Amino acid sequence: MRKGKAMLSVALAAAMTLGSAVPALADGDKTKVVFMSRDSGDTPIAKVYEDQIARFMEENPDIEVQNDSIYEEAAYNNKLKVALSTGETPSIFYYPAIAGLTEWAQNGVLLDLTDSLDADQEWKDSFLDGALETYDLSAYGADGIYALPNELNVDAIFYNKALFEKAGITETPQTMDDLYDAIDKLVAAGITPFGVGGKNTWVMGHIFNNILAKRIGREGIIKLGTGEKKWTDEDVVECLQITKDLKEKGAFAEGFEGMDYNTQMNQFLTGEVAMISHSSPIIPEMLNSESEILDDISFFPFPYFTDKEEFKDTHVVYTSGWMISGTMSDEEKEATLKLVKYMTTKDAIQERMDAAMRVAPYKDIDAPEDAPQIFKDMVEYTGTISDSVGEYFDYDTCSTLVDTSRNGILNMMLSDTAEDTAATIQADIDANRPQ
Amino acid sequence: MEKIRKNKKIIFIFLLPAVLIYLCFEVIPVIMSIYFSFNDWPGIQAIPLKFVGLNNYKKLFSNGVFLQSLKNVLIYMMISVVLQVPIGFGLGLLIHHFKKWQRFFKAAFFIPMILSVTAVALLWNFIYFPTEKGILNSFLIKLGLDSLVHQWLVDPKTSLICLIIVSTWTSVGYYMIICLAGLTSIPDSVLEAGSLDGATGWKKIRYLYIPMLWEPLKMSTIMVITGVLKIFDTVYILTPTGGTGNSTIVPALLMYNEAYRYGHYGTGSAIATVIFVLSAFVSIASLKLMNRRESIEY
Repeated sequence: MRKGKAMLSVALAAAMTLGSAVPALADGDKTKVVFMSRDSGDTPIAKVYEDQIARFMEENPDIEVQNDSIYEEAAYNNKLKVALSTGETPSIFYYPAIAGLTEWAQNGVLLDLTDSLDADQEWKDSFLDGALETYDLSAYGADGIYALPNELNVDAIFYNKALFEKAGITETPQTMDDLYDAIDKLVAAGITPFGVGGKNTWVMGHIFNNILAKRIGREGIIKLGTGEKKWTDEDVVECLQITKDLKEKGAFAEGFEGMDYNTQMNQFLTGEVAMISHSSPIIPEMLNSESEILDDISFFPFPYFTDKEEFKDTHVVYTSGWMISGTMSDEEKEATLKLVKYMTTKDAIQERMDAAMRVAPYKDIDAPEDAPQIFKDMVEYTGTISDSVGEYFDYDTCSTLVDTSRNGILNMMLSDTAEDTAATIQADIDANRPQ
Repeated sequence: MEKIRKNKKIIFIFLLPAVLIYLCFEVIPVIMSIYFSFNDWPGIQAIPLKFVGLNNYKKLFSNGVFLQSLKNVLIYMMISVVLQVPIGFGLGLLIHHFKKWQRFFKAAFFIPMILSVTAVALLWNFIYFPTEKGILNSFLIKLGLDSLVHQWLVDPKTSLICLIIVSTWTSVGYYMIICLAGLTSIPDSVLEAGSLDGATGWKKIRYLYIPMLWEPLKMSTIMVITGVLKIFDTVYILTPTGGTGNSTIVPALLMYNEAYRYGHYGTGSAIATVIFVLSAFVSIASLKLMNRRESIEY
């Protein structure tokens, strides 16, 4: 009975989704395109999307675009999963995965964009070099490009210049040894070095991912995802140990494992902690806050290890993309591609960057003249990145890895050893990675 | 009217909409879920179901995390039954005797029940905050009990009991109202007769109130059991990952992760079926156990 009630909610959710996420012919023989992103509500980016969609419909009266975007992550994922399970895939949608898209690609849920991109060279060339390759799933058994990169989330360490000065740190850390020195100086000055909301396990996960990138590089992370490397390999265990050792060095506040992300941000924006490890979308979020230390905030790239100089220039950049449904009719496909191209013109991308300070994976897009310096610096820094890598689990088809590894890392910070954590993660991969 | 009441066709027609709704939204989903549990399916319509027999169940019962979730939910259920029903009914009995402030106390104890789980979780998040800034920790420090300061939701020794306390705080008002409703239906003459026979204090509760409130007590116990076996929201908000070392993981959270996050609909359905069977079994067993004692009719 109880489970029946749970199923009822699913059935109702399905019914609601069916009514909205179906790409089909709209009223008056208009071709309907369903657009589903995580940008909705009153956010600046959501407003730009709404404006762009409205203008597109004005210019294309035979196409009706239905914006089904949902900001809240769980609600978005639930709606998308119900739509996929009922065969009502939205025309354009977002999903945070790369290798995890393989099964969808192999079963025709996603459109292979290779031909469409090849047919419009100018459009193809507008993407940053290497950006489209992010969604090339050939290495996982699905030949083709199955999404269009839309935004770049560039990882960095954001720091409070005033607190650095107070602790006597004159230069931003370039190497991990510099970072360890900075941690020591901050601790000696009675300042908590890093704000970490450990309860939101992705926070520690991001720190570990940066360490992994700087020690085993892009190739190593991809090999970890494809199974050529194992989590129990010495160099991966070493990365876990380095992450754990940060706690021993006093890098994090007492009780950080139980704090949430909001507390972490509050600590940073009130000048309570000196650093946070985050990515570029935090810039507009910080600037929209009423923090009094905004002028003191800057960032530096995650430091490298002097014994691994070969990975000095490997930087963590999370790409977020647009997936296109592979189950549409020719008419719907044509309308959808028209909309996607419209939204990836230089003007459209520039408009979104100007309004919402999002770093985009397109050429010739500059930060606006009146943008805050920190954002201009971020755009400039992004332009210097030639070797980037995403999250380690992006390259793995094991869907449980994200939770198992992040929970494992948090447990390691509390009590487990690096070796046990690696063994637990590897066991999960062995049990759950599709063969 | 009598004729209509005896006309089976009319009875059938009036019952039909309710039966159809019940079948569509209760029975069929349960049957479908059981069917899905014998298949592998990644949640994509384009991929056909793959029959795997009892494989999902075999995997489940050899999975340490699932077994831990069963252990957690059974502990959660037992402590909740022991806490929620007696505290709720105790409050009900207490408030019943305070006529002057009855309305105030009724509202005060019932308010947590009408608050959204998110608001409740946020509130308790401040209470359990892991540093000395947390309400509970700062209170302990003020009392000079610094040694008891804790990361309440992080420490595997305390996290589950912390969640049980939140659920208890939220629910006791509801059982208090059920108790009060039961108390108002007890005739004064029965209580007066009991008093004349020497039933006062604990004796009055033991020999008068408990037997007379047996049906509401039974119903409340079943509600606590079924409510806890499917508990998700409080656990998900306060310990989204299922706690340190899976100390607060429960089957419903695991089911959500398997079906919606990992795309393992077969495994998710198998967990849902286990929750369903467990709920039915424990509810029937509790009813049988509690039915041995006959309630007093008056």
